[in-house]
Amino acid sequence: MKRVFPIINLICLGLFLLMVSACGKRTAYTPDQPYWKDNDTVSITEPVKRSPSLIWQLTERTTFRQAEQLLDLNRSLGKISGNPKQSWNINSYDEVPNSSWFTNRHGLHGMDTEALQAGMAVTSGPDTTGKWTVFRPKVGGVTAGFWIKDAKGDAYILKFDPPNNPEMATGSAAITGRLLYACGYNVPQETITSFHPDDLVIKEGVTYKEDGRKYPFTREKLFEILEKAYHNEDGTIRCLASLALPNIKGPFSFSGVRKDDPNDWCRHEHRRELRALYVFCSFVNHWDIKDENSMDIFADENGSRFIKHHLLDFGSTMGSAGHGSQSPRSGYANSFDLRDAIVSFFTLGLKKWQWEEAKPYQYPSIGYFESEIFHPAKWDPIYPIPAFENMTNRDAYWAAKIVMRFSDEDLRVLIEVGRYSNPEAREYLFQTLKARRDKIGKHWFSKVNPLDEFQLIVREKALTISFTDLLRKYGFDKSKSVSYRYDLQHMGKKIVSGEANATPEINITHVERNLLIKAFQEANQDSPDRNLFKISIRTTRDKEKNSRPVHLWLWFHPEDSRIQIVGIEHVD
Amino acid sequence: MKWLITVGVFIVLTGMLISTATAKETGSESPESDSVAVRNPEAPRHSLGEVLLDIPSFIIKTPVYIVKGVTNGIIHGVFESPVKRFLNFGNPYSLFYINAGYGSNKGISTGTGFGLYHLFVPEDKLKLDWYYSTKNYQSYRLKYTGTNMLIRSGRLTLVGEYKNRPRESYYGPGNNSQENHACNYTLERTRIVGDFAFPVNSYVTLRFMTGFTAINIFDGQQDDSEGRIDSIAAKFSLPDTYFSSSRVVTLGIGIEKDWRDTAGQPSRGGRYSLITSYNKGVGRSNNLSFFVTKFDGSYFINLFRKRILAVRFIAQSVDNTKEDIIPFYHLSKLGGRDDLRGYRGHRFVDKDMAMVSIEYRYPLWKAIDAFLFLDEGRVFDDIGDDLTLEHWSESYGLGMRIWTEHAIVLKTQIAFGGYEPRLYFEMGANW
Repeated sequence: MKRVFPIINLICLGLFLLMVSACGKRTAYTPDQPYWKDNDTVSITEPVKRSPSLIWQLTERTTFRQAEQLLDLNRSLGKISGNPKQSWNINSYDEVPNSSWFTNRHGLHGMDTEALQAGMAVTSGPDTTGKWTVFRPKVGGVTAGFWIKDAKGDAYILKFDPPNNPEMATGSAAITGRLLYACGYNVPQETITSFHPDDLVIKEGVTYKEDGRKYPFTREKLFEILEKAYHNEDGTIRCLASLALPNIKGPFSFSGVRKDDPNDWCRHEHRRELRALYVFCSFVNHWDIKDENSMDIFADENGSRFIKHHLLDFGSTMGSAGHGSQSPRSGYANSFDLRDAIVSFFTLGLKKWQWEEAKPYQYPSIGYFESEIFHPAKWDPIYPIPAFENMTNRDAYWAAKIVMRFSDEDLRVLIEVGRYSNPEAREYLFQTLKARRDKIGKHWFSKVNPLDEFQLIVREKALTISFTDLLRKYGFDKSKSVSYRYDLQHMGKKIVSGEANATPEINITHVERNLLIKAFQEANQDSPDRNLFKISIRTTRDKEKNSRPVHLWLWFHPEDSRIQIVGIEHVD
Repeated sequence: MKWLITVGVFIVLTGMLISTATAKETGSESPESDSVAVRNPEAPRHSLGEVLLDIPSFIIKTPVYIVKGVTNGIIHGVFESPVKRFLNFGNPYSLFYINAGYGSNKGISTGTGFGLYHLFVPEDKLKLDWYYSTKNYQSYRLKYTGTNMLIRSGRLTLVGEYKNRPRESYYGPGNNSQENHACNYTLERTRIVGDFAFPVNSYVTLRFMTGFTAINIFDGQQDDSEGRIDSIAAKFSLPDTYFSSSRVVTLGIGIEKDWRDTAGQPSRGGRYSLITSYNKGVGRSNNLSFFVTKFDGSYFINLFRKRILAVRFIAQSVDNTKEDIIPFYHLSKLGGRDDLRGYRGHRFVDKDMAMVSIEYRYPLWKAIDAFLFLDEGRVFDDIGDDLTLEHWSESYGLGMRIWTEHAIVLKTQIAFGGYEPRLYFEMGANW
């Protein structure tokens, strides 16, 4: 037995080293980078519609996947060694290229007020000048709804506010839809409008299913559905009209790939926009995020037919649970949270969860939505989402940057879309979103070295690299002094090092630049990394220990002695 | 040994070497006309290190994969497939279910159940279920429940059932019976019961019961303890009639008061029932007649944030009206999942019994509770004469309950105090 132990130890050590070494990958940097678009919109054969089982997903995600992830040595050792698997689809600037999943909008380019308020806009909303024809009812379930066609022939799904919470579900859905669109996701067009029940006509021959049997859909049944909705005093009903998505192919999964889509190259749990969706969902308390609230469509754009991926159904966000207010627990624990249950079990129920003493909500139009006990890293969706569970600090930092791009003014603009009649409710919502936004920024910016917006400035023969310290930019850093230490390396050899105090700028003098050129000239001509230089910057705040580094990759063009930033890496 | 180390080091070095190779992005030769650089993406290749680590990962994950596969099959088979529709026979008011369980005496039992709803009047139901166990326990039951029957809000329950339990245990009468004196017998019971409940107001219900019960006692089937009825009687110096079969007609009346806030997870209020029945032997048991009176009360206090203290008191008295010996199985019993939980079922038998349970219940999740409990109970020859603090047996333990607002769906508990720990798993418990 004694002989076996050293061998086992050796194997374990070997496996650990293998794992650690396997995590040390970096992107290969070349002068044609960064890429800003993934070529995943190539025409494909039309896939079949998927209908996954909700019960199975809930079971699988809550139990089996948890066990599998724990026993996955690659994943577990990666986490232990501080080298979790990074997202596959980032570009060399640590950003996400546009794709059939995501389009850089407010985060990179900024959107104006009009664009923020419009969100995804294909039509101007349902035509209210004519009658609406109900062609498919939604019977059963806790929320009311049905499909209509307006006079122009556009199809919409109508969703309503619960009787005790006017403006709540429609308002939160309209705001969240636009916010996620601005973040970069594909969402359906959603418009708040109102109608009078007399303006509805039922298409001939429409039936509905109840108790396994088909019945003709009558006007009485229509009014029965509408009873679940809040009615305005003038008899009209406020609704959210969601433009029906065409050619739907079922929801996407937050893990794996869609096998009948050759464009789907990246496992979904390793897509940054899906991993970091956690941050956006935590921002707006999109507790109901799950596979079923997504939709793939077979799009036909620019002569290409491909799968395009959407998020949908935002009626259970912020303080709304669709049929009523959110429970105080929603957002602070999964629908069934094994971890919390175990803690409660062993503490004999004496552990007090913060949400247990939640105050009743103030505004029926907002529901239970708060910012005091909200913690950006402790937010929980309805059930564990594989992509969220793989999110790294780098992913979250990327998303937090986008969240912070929503200025106070932007938030007010978005809240306007909710058409809340009570100004106090609007103000409460603004203050809550603002506080949550700031908590998100402060938390995730502190998890990496939050230096960004790098710029290369050539002044005569010297070089200045300027950047922004996001913790300082948004006022989250209250330290009295800050300094930025940097090392410039070439092929693993340090050439220049220095420190910038207070000003986020690295100045490479003419002499130092010559050292850089000299290093290039002396390097092996066949080496692919000959043109590549790395600057590692660490931040020290109030003389406390150095932060993790940000690596800046520079490409030296010998033909005109030009230097180009080809890569940015925020080390996790 | 050396070669093993060499191979190990080789694998490590090779893995490190290969795994540090970068996953290349393949750049497009010609960016789109809008000058945006387009990437033809491909998934990063796994390094040798990752591939090698995947092998032990796969091996240790295999049990998870197996259970996952089986669960997936069950969920898709039951909830998602046309089988469900077939089992419902196209009737939305029907239900098919699997009837399975485990008990130390009966072993693993499996069976099926089928229910029909809205049969004669709205909200009535007819259920037929059965099981057979690895140790030959069997049960067949037909139960009909209808509300608004006979009179408004009246609830009528009719039950017909047959049970055969070939490994039941008897330990002798009274509190001083010994665990190691256990004998075993077969109990065969056929029962027809009618129960009509009439609500007086929203809390109080009157109940009227009638029924016929035929019980046969045979030799037991357990190999490791005494199982012959005649020798059991001799062993405990008891008359043969104490172990005889019987045919009994029952007529009973009861009153119930239920002011709990919910039935599934009461946090306030309480519930009690007082039922008395007259039982008259018929046929071969013509000389048998006795009264059974039972009080069952429970009270619930919300200590703080749905941490609940539940208290239960049960007392039962069996009185014969003649001098005849009442067979032991009609007497008061203690032990088992409903009362003195740390002891085997029917561990203590005598004419009268009393017990107190205290439970501290605390929420684990929305509809899942955990609880700690303490039971104290004893049997009496005559509760009026013997009610002292001596000879009480206690059991304690912990468990979990899954509930809905209307009922307990599933309850599992482990209890200590008796000869060995007792584990219970039951569906639809009433406490």
